[in-house]
Amino acid sequence: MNFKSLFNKNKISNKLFLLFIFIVIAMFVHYSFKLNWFLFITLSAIFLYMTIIFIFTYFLYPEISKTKKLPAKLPQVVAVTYAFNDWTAVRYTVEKLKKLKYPKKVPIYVITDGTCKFLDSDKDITQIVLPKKYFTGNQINVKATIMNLGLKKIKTDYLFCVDGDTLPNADALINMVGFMTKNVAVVNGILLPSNNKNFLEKLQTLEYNFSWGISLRVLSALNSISVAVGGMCLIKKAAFDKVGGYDETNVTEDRELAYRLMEEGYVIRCAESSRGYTEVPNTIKSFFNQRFRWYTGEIATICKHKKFLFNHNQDVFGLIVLPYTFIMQIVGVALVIKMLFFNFKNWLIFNYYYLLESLKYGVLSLQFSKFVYLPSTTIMGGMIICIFIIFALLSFSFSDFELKPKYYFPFFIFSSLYGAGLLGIYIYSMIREFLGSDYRWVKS
Amino acid sequence: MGKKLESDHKVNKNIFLAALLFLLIFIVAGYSGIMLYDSYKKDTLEYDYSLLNQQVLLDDLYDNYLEDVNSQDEKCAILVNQLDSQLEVNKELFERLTLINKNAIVDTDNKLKYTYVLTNIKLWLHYNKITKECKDLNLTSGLYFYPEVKSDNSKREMLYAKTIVFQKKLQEFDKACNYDSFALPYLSYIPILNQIISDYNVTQSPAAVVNGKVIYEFPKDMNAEFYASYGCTLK
Repeated sequence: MNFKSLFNKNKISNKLFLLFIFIVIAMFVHYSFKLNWFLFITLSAIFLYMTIIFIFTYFLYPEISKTKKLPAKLPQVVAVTYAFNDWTAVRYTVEKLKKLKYPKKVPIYVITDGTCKFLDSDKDITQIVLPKKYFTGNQINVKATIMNLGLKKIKTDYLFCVDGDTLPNADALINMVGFMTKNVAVVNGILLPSNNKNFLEKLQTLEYNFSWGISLRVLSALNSISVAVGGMCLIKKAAFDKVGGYDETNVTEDRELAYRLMEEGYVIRCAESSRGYTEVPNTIKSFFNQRFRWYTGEIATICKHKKFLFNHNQDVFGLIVLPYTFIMQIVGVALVIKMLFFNFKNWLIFNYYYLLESLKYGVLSLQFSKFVYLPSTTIMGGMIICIFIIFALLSFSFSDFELKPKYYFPFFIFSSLYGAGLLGIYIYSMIREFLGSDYRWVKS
Repeated sequence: MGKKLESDHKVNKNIFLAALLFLLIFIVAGYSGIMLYDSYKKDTLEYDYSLLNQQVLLDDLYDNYLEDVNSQDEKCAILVNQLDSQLEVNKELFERLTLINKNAIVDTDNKLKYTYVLTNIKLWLHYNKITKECKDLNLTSGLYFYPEVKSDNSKREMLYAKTIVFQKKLQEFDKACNYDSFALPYLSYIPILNQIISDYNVTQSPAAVVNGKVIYEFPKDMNAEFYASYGCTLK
């Protein structure tokens, strides 16, 4: 643990905010045994209320994220990606960028450290070569740093930003441009995994198809999308410059940027027909690192922008969506702690004594079924899982994903344990963030 | 803080009111459902209590009838009949309790639990009466006190683990001796239980009372000598 960073690196107010969250979680875990029924009814009512809002919004605004007409005066768009340390896979991204459909020419820029020599011969692209010092571990967020530096050299209306391992469809850009009205600063595309061979990849395929489905349409309709998806999005250059570009001290620069854009009165939209494919982590270690980065960045962003909570200037996002997401995350964390810590602890204690008692009679046995489930927790869990499955299936149909038999078991794990696993990483990230972890952006 | 979010797309605020209305409808429907379920449960409980009342009346009738019976065999037959009907009621109560426990949204009805405890004591007393009056029937019964710890701590887990192992050994013991044990919670605040606990000087639970002796722990090797010390002859 880095004690210096505990006091120096982050603002004291952020630490206090996190401390407050920890206290709330601890109180929830402690009192949930006594306020079982009260908590059950309150949380179920909140959850049900938001579910109804989601359903109403989904049906009320079916056109919100569907392709819009291009403006009469076509804006200038440039496609930007980045590559370093001789990242050869960027060639595939570049090839896809060349195939983008748009009535005007779309210049392609690749921000590099000069090691990607295979790009030198490509006349269709412009390389922005930056000094190598910006690509080292000294930067907290290499991507944010190099994008800020690289984008300063580009003059255009819109930036079509794509990660070096993302493959956009040919119509991805043209489907986004129509959304760029006066106060729209970013249009997100829908990212789906390009690899789905092993179990972990299949789980993420389900997750991506779930996350990029109905919820994005609903959040878009509620003016509540709070991320400028780094993998593939269209950014209004003027807005980007106005807020000072990416935050180079945040490991999820895309989320943080979204908050500052919203702070300036901008909104973010999603184009449901703009699809792109990205490589997802295929090992537990890389998956953990990616999620740890996402959650650490997300927590840091919420800490930094905590004033968004219950802020009427942010309309539905500040008053309803963000507080709800925030409360549900806290509740989720508390429930996971409660289930794992208390129930698992009780199970261990029970089996320790059970083993001791059995050994007295020369028998070696354990009882695996002895878990204490509070009725309300079970009912609420069941209700959430049911709504989750309905949402998942609707989302899959929304993103044209067919739930084939090979996905049945991953789907079972996705519906039951996956969320708890992610919450586990979230808890770890919260603790690390509180202790002032020295975490840096790592390309996953 | 910051500028007011401005969008050409305005969110229809009626959505939130409509959702609230729907939520209220859900709550009212849910509440009505619970009330219906509650009244159904009350009806079932009333049925249980009427059954118990009948049993109490029946017991009185049997007792009165027994006073006029001179033949020992006939007396024993009546006592066994009485036992059968008590067992029937007890079984029904137990099933109801299990069902309520399984489907419990709220905690199990304590009154019903308490009634079950009383009927178990009643059964045990009746068994004792038969043991005394009809020695030929060779019926022996015992009491089994199980712990009831509500707090969520390691003591509860320890007791729970101990209880499960103890129960297994008691079942083994009962089977070998053809004994019947009646389970009772180790709760001294219930007067009748307190009376039995102090009569047999039961100081902790889990514990079994067989032939007036208290067992807190079964030996690893339950030999014939051990069984004999509790009046049991192995077959």
